[in-house]
Formats: sequence, structure tokens, C-alpha cells
Amino acid sequence: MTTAARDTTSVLIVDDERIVRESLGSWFRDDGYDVATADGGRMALRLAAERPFDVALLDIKMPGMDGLDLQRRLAGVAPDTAVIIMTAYASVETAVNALKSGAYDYIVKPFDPDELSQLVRRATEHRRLRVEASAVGKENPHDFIIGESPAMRRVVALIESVAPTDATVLIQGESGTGKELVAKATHAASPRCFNPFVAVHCGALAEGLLESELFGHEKGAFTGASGRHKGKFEQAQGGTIFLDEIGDVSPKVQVELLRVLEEKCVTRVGGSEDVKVDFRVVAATNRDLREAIASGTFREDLYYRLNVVTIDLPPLREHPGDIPLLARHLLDRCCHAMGKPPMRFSAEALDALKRHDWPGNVRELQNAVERGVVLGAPPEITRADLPRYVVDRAVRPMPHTLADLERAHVVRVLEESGWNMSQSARILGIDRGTLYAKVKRFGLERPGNER
Amino acid sequence: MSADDPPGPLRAIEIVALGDLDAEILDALVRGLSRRVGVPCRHAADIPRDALPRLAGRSQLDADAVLSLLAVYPATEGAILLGVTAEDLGHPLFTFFFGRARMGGDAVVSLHRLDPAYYGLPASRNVMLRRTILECVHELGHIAGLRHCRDYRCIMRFSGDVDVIDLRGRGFCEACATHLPRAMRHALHA
Repeated sequence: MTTAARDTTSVLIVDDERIVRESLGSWFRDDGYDVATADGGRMALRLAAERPFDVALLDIKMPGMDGLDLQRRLAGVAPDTAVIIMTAYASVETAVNALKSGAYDYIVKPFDPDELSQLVRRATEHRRLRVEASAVGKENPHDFIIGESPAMRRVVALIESVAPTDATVLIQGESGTGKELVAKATHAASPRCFNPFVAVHCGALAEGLLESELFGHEKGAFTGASGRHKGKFEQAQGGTIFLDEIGDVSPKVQVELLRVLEEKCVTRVGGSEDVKVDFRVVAATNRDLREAIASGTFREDLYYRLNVVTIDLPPLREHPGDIPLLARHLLDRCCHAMGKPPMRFSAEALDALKRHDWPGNVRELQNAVERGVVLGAPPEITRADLPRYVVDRAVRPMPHTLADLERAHVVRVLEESGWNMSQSARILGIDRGTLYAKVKRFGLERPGNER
Repeated sequence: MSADDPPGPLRAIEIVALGDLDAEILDALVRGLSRRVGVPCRHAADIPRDALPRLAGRSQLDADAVLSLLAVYPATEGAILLGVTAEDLGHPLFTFFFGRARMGGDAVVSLHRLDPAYYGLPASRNVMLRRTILECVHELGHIAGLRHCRDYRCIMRFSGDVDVIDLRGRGFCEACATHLPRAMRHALHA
């Protein structure tokens, strides 16, 4: 049949009576809908698991699984599908049960054609708005975290599983790996997404200032405190507080933080009243907190309070396969922000980016890309547009074999230890005799020994 | 309407009165539709009231069963049968239809809800006839293979309310006209 102005809205009709499925299916098809039918709950759930439906019309009375029961199960499989319950008898009880079980509406058989048409149109619109609102609020972690490597996929999977919970998250990773982005992704994918995300860079503030920033202060609490000030915990009411560089917090503030985390209430500096606050904590550090505990600079109880779920962000050099994808993403974003036409990397420039080991991680890559966009002539960024240190390091030939790699690593450890053989052997996890043998086998010579 | 055979060339429309129908209305309908569709329309033999299929427990004709009845009616080769009734048309699953059609088959249209008197307004034969002709063209569009159209200006717009029949366009939109089979385009999209 020929169709004009086709509507691609999909409708699932579930009824044990064939005449109903056929008549209703034919009626919706004539109206341009994409229709599927099921003779019962099992088949409906299978269809809904296979493909999304905009609207599902469920008969309330079916043998086995009735419409309300199916509606509840369908919500687990296809939560975005708008459900309309079909019933032969209109009653307040039916209406209440249908709506209580999460249905969009109900309709009484036989259907008024106009009422049915409008109801399905409204349900479709309702579903579309709900999906849009959900997409605006709960972001996909993939939108924040760029990377296809197994390491980054693990990070995204961890965010996806922990985000819907209220568990405290500790993000560990080198500087520039994107810890704040992970924190934002966790917040955005959580039920708290419509409430504030408040970031505090703990390492940047002196102890007194940090206390005031975190917990707030009362008027006159200290010189210059001219009025009452709400702290970051209060500002994060209902949302997420991100405590960056948590490893740099002083012992005094650590004690106060521990109390706030345990009791979920804050006392403003200079005040005596406890203020109840609802927040979720995501903390981050580039320090090894276990080492800090061992050295007595970080409280063990606070560590365990923060470390409910740990997300380890790998440095960029450990997932170099993501560099092209990341670089292109940053390039697109940068061109857009600078109002430049879309650009691309030349093959040589991309090769140089891939060969660099990025000690400053994604932040360093971002700086390199920004420089390339500023200096490069659209539409291409060449090697010459990249920072000198990126190109210089990149021209170093990469070791090709395991032996080359081992030699390079031994040289690096020896250089870093000043050719201290005992220390180098310890770092490498081998005994001194083995190290001497490797030095000899690789033909290495201590600088200054050359003749 | 269900998908059966593809539509053949439209040579004539034969109007079949289903049950009791005012002769003047029937004549006016034959003349009006002839002017609108550009193919000959003629009055075929009536189907008596007692032979019409009804819905149990409802004072309505069963629209789908009427279409099945028309499918075995002896029509002239190349003519489309258009059943017209003064009774209300219903369906086991739907409260009513203004009209009902099968692709490549026949159609039935009810005058029952097209008269303003049904809505408590002064009766108007002219209004009823105008609506009936528009509804007949809509059903002929279905016979020609068209589905409902989202365009308010198109006669193929779905109407579950008589106001929509009055407000929607009287002809086919460009998209629907394009999809009309060549054999019927000349007649329907004059």
C-alpha cells in the first residue's frame, strides 16, 4: 500500500483476541504507524526486548499475564514505552490500577476512533518529551569520556554501574587524566543530575579558607566575614560535591570532613548550629593515598570512608590507541570554540601525536591540539603546527622487539637512578648479577666511562 | 481497510443503497459525486435492510461485514461499489466509522453522523451531502491504496470527528496525489 506522510511511530498491540490484534493493527497501519502485535505477555516482552516501541496498547484481561502485570514487567524491559491499557469496562478501580502501575492512560472498548487517535498521539508526544528530558539530564558517560580502549571502556562501565547508586567514589589518576570529567559524568548519569554539581579544588586553598569554602561561615566568624556564607556542601544540596586533590587536605580539615561525611550535616565556621545536608561525594587524587596513610599524612578512616568505589584512570601512555580518537574530538571542540572551520590532522601530525608519551596526559594533548588550531592553516594541522617537544620526542624511533623494549627500559631505570646498580636492580625486580649481565648483553656503558 | 489486490482502472462508480435511503438524497449524491470524481456514477440495485449485517447488541451495521457483502455483489467490470447507508456504521472494536474501505475493493459510507441534526443542530441536507461526497472521496483514496495523511489540507487526513471533515482540505495533497495509481489519479485528483 502506498503511504503519504508516513509516521514512523511504533505501536505494540497486545491482546489474546486475534480479531482485536488484526483490526487494531490494520487501523494503525492505515494511519501510518509501524505496528507489531503479540498474543500475550511473553511474546510482548520478547518483542519489546528486541526493539523499542513508542506506545504499547495492552489488553487488561489476558490469560496468564494480565495487562497490569505485563505493564509492570514491560517497565523493566522498555521503561520509555508509553503504555495504554485497553479495557472492556470503564471503572474507577481500573483507571486507578492502570495509572498506579505506571501506565500513561487507559481506553475503553469499543474505541472511539478520534479518542484513540488522539490518545496515541498524546502518548507518543509524552514519550518523546520524557526521553528528551531524560537525555538532557542523565548524560551518557560516553559523552564525557572519550576512548575505545579496553582500559577506558572499563572506566565507562564502572561509571555506568556506580552512577545510579549513592556510593562515594574515589577517582585516582595522574594529573591531566580527566578526573573532573569522570566526576561530572558520574553526577550526570545519576538520579542527582538535576541538582548541583559543586567542585572544590582542595589543594588550591589554605586550610582556613578551605574550611570556610567547604562548610561556610557565619557573619563575623573571622575578619572580613561580613555576612553568612553557605559552604560548598550546602551549595551541593541534593547533588554531588567533587573534592579534587583530596590527598592535599590538612589533617584538621580531614577530621572535619570525616564528621561531615559520617553525619551528613555541617557546622558553619563561627556557628554552632548543625545544618542537615543531602549530598553525594566524589573525591579525586593524583597521590597514592595508601602511601600517604603509611607516612601519616592521610587519615585511614577517611580513606575508607571515601574509598567505597575506586575508579583508576589510566595515564594516556597506557592507552595510546585512544590518542587519534581523543585528538580528533579535542580538535573538533577547539575549532568550534575558536570559531574556526573544521580541521583535520595531516598523517605526519597524527603520527607524531601517537608517538609522544604525553606525561601531562589529556590536558597536555589538549594544549598541543589548541596550539595546532591556532597556528595551523585550515583545513589541515601539520607536524610543524604542533609543539616542538611533541615532534622531537616523536621522532625517537620506537623499539620494535621485546629485547629493544627491555633495553630501553633498563637504560631508563639506570639513568634515573644515576647508574646505581643496587637501586636499579631493586626497581627492575631482579638481582644485581642479572642486571650486570643485561648491561653487558645490551652493550651499555655508564656515561663518563666512554674512551 | 486491508491490503488485497492492487487497484485496477477506475471506469465507473456504482452506488448501492444499503437499506432505506431517501431517493432524492441518493440522486443528489450520484450527481454530486459524478461532478467531483470525473467518472460516471450510477445507482446500482439496492441491498434490502433485512440483508444487512448488524452488530450484536448495538443499533449499527457491521462495517467490515458490509464490505464482505459488497465483495460478492455483482458489480459491473471496472466499477467500484460504494455502499451508502442512512444507518450508523460500527465495528466490534470501534464505536463508529463515517466510512470504511478495502484497498482495491469497495467502500461503505454512512450518512448517520454527517447530518448536523445528529449533533442537535438544525438538519441540513446540503451540509450532509457535501460531507458525504467528501467522505466518499476519502474512502476512494483508501481503495486507491492511500493511507491516512498528517496534512490538514489533505482529504486523506483521518477524521474521527465531523469537524475534521469540514475543516480538512477537499482534495489530495501533493504527496498523496503522487501516490495515487495512474489509473485513478485522473478521476480522483482532477
